[in-house]
Amino acid sequence: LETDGELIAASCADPRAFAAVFDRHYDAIAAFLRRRLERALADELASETFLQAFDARARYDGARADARPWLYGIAANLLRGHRRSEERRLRAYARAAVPAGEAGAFDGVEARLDAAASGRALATALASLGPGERDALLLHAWADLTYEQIAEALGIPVGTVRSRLHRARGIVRELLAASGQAVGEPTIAGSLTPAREENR
Amino acid sequence: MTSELDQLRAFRAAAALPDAEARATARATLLEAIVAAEPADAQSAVDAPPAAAERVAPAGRAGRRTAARRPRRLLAGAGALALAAVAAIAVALGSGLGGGDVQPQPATAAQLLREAADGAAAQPYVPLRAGQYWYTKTVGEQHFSTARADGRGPYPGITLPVTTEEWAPASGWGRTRWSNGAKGRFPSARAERDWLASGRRWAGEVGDLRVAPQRQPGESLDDFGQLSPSALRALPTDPQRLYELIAAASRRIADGGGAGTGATATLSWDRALGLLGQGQAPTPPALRAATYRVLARIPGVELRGRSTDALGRPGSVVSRTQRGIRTELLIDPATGTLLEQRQILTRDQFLLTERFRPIPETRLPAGWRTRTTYVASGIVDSLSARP
Repeated sequence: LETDGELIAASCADPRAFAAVFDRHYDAIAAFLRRRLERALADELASETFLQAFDARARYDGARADARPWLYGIAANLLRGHRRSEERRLRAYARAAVPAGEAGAFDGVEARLDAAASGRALATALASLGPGERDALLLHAWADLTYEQIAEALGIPVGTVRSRLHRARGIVRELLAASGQAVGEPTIAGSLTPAREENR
Repeated sequence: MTSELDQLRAFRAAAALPDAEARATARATLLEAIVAAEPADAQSAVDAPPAAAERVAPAGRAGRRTAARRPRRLLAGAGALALAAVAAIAVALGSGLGGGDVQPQPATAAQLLREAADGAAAQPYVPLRAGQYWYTKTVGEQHFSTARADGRGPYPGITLPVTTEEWAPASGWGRTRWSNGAKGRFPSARAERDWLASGRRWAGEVGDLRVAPQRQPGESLDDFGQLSPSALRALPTDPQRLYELIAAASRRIADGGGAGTGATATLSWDRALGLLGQGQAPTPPALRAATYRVLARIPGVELRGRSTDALGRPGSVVSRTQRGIRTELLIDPATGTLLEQRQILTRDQFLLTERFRPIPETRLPAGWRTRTTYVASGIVDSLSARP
C-alpha cells in the first residue's frame, strides 16, 4: 500500500493520483470542520482544503507518510477566517445548548449530551479559548493528532503545543466542574481566565 | 467518571456524520481541478473529452455542468430517444477547412475581442414576439461516440457531417431538423470495424421532430447556450457585472470559492461561449458585446490570425486550449458575429472508465478536428418558414 507521501509525490507528475488522497481523508476533514462550523460552510471549507492541498502538492515532503497533519493544518488555516462565526455558534450553544435549526442534527446519546449542562459548559469553554488553544485542543480531541502532529499542522514548536493543550484542558475542566459535571482528573486551579480580547 | 477529553470527544459528534452528497460534490470539484492541471502536452496523458462526460461525470455540481454541454437537447417524442442518446454525447470537434491560414496580426486576442464587442454593440436588436420562432442553421462535423448500454465494447465512434436547423419558439412547441452525412471519418481501422459491428445507424440519418414545450431552454447560466429569452434579457450587459456573474458561477463549481486551479477560467470560457452562439433566442446586442468583453478578460486566450469558415466567410480566430482540446472561434469583428467554432485535440483522448483508466479502443488521436459553422439565423413566423 502506498503512503500518503508517495501518493502526493506521484501526483506531481500524474495529478490523478491525488484523488486517492481525497478518498482517504475527506470524511475526517469534513467531520472536523462540521463540528466547528455550520454545515454548508464546513462542507465548502472541506472542499477548499483539498483544492489548496492539491495546488500545494509540489511543496509536500513525500517522506512524510501521513498527510493528515498537513491537511488538518490547511483546514485550520481556513477555519481561522471564520473564527467569529465559530465563536458565535459556541456562544449560542452555551446559552441554549442547541442553536435554532440544528435540532435535527442531534440524535440519541449525542443529543442528550449536547443538550445537557456539560454541552453548555464545553461550548463556553471552547468559546473562551484563544484560537490557537482551540485549534490545538480540537486537533487533539477530535482529530486524534499527537502533539508532534499538531505541531506540524499548526507550524509551531511541540513545546507550544504542550503548553496550549495544558491550558486549554484546564479551562475545559474548570468549566465542567463549575457546571456540576464530574470530571475524572484533578482540576487545575487558577487556569480559568475570561475570554480574551482577541476572541471578540 | 469521564475525563474532560472524553466529554469533548462526544461533543458535537452527531455533526460529524459523513454526508455522501457533500462528499460527491467536493470530489467532483477536486476532479475538475485535477483535470485542469493535467499537462497539456503529456504524451500519455488521457482525458475525458466531452464525449466521455456522460460516462465519467462525477456526481454533484460538476456533473450538471457536463450534462449542460450537450449540443442539443431540444428533442421530444419516442422517435427522438435514439438520437437524444447520441446527441447527448456528440462532440462538436472542428474540421481542417481553413484552419491553417494563419497570418501575423497587429493585435492581441483581447484587442480583437474588444473590436468584436464594438461591432456587436452596433447591431440592431429585434426581440422575439409571441407566436414567432428563432430560426438557426448550422453545418459542421461532429464526433459521435458512446459505449454500449452494458458498458462493454465495442465503442462505436464516428465523425460525421451534420446539418441542423432549429425553430426555437417564443413559447409552445418548437422544431428541430437534422441530417447526418452518409460518409463519416474514423480515427482508426479498428474504430471503423467496431462501428460496423455495433449496427449503429447514425450515418445518413435524417430527422425532423417537434420539440415539446417542457424541453425548452433553461434559466440558469449552467445551461450553456440554451438560455430562454427571458433569462437572456435578465443577464447584465455591464461587462464587469457579467464577468462577476460568470466567474462566480464558475468558481462555485470549479473550486468552491478558491483560486488558482485554472478550472474557473476554463468554466468561465465555456459559459461565455454559450452566450456567443446562436442560442435559443436573439441575443441582445449589448449582451453579446459584454460577452466579448468578458472573453477578453479570461486568461489564456490566444490570437491565431485570419481565416475563413467552411462557407468561405473571412474572419479572425481566437482560441483557448483546455483539457487537451483547443477551441477556435472564427469571428467577424466588424459585426461581432461568431462564424464558426472548431475544436482540435491537442493530445490523444479516450473515453475513461470510472477509475480513470483509458479505454484504448476509444482513442481519438491528437489533431482530430470537428467544427460547427453558424450558417444563418433569423426570426420567422411559422415552424416551416426560413428567413
